[in-house]
Amino acid sequence: MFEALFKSIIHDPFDWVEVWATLFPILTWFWIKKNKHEVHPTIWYFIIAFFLNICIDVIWKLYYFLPENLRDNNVFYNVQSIIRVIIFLLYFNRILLGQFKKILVFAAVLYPIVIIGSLIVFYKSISFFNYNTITTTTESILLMLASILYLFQLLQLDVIVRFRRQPAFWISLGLIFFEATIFTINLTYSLLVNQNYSHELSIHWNRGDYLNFYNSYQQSLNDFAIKIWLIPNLAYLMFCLFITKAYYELQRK
Amino acid sequence: MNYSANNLIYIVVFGIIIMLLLIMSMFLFFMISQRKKNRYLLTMQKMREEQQNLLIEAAVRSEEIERHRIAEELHDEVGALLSSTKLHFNAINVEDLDQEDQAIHGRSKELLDDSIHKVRGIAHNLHSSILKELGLHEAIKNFVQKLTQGGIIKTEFQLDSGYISVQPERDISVYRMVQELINNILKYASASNISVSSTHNKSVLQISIKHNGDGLSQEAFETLRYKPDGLGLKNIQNRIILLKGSIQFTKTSSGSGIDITIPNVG
Repeated sequence: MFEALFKSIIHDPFDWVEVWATLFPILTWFWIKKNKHEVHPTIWYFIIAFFLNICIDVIWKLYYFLPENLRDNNVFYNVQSIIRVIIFLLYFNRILLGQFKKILVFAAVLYPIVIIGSLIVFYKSISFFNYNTITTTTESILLMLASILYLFQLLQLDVIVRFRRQPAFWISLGLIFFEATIFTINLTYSLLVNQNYSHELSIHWNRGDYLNFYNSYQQSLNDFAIKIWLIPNLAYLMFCLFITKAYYELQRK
Repeated sequence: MNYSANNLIYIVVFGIIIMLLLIMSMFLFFMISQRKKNRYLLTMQKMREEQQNLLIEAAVRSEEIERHRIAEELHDEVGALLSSTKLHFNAINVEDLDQEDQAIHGRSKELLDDSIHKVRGIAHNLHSSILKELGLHEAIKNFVQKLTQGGIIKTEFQLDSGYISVQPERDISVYRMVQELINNILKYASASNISVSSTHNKSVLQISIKHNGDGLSQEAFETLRYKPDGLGLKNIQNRIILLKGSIQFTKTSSGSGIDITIPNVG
């Protein structure tokens, strides 16, 4: 089991990108000399994400070695998504002002309503222990909104801002890039991996047609779902690099 | 691959591309808008600075004109009156006076001479013609020596003899700043040693005043210059802004120092 894990780390390092990319901002944070700054809460996300990502990748790589009830790593994605939203919304709440802050607070209040509401209303098809499209898509919309609000706030300020020196600018840029890239995948991932969707099609089709359809359809989608995960991984790497740059700018300040 | 599966894959790929294009165009919009805004703010800031400089220049110039007027009136009117008084005074036949009146006459003559001397000194200090006659460094030396004559305060000069005035207006401002600073040292710092030095090169003129008294620190200067009664320090700061220079106050246990740096402009 551990040999398989070790081999995977050596032969497919990019499969572990979510783990090692998280180390960039963490190490930068502890390396730089900094004063107290509103960016402080964000480091907690990366520390938590580091451990969650280890769990995600270990479960994935040891899939066949684990008992069936421990094979699902989707819950860690959902937990991570919620932590990301809470920590980054807290951060933006510190830096946004006036109307922008009001919009953010309004959106933040809606967030738990949407998540809990969706779990209650769609309790048959949505579970927190599967890849939760609503949680991740809501995350993307909220964090993109918060980042865009910050950029608009920068534009409205009546002072010359050297925005490339602003940690918040790099954090916003990283978040927008990451969330925009994974938005479509978040939105459609259930369709790509969830067999329920093709099962629903079978209601209208006869059994033979359905089985033929299912074999080719689900197989190709599953392959695609695995391949397309490269994009969120790349986006996550870019996100970590943007945050690293943000922390580095913190030192300059 | 099934047609429907293909469709879903295309939707996902197309969605990712669309989202990336959207954020790229949004970022482009942000960059262009930010650049425009910064350019506008810079222009406004420059205009404000120019306006402020014009106001300071006008204030400094009117102050200089007023000094000239007072100096000329002191010299031509009061000075002439005192000289005429002295002539009349000299015409008095002292031999006819008794010993007591002779002593009063002698004391009055001394006081009159002192007054003439003082009025001439004040007129010279107020008038910048001394700069034209002697040059900046000699004028500074002359002013400091005049103020400290009597031997209580030791003075030392290390002034760059190679300095040639190219901007008389700048020299007047530098001279006025040194005058104000020396006056302040004599009034408040209780110094017994003052040294004035200067260095000069193509790009900058530096004047350094050091003394062993209780001078100002940079923080104290920053605080005092905003006080309504700190007119002298305010004038110094205005002249520094006008000349695009800098002034640095330092205070140590052994004494205090003031460094004025003026760049060569034009």
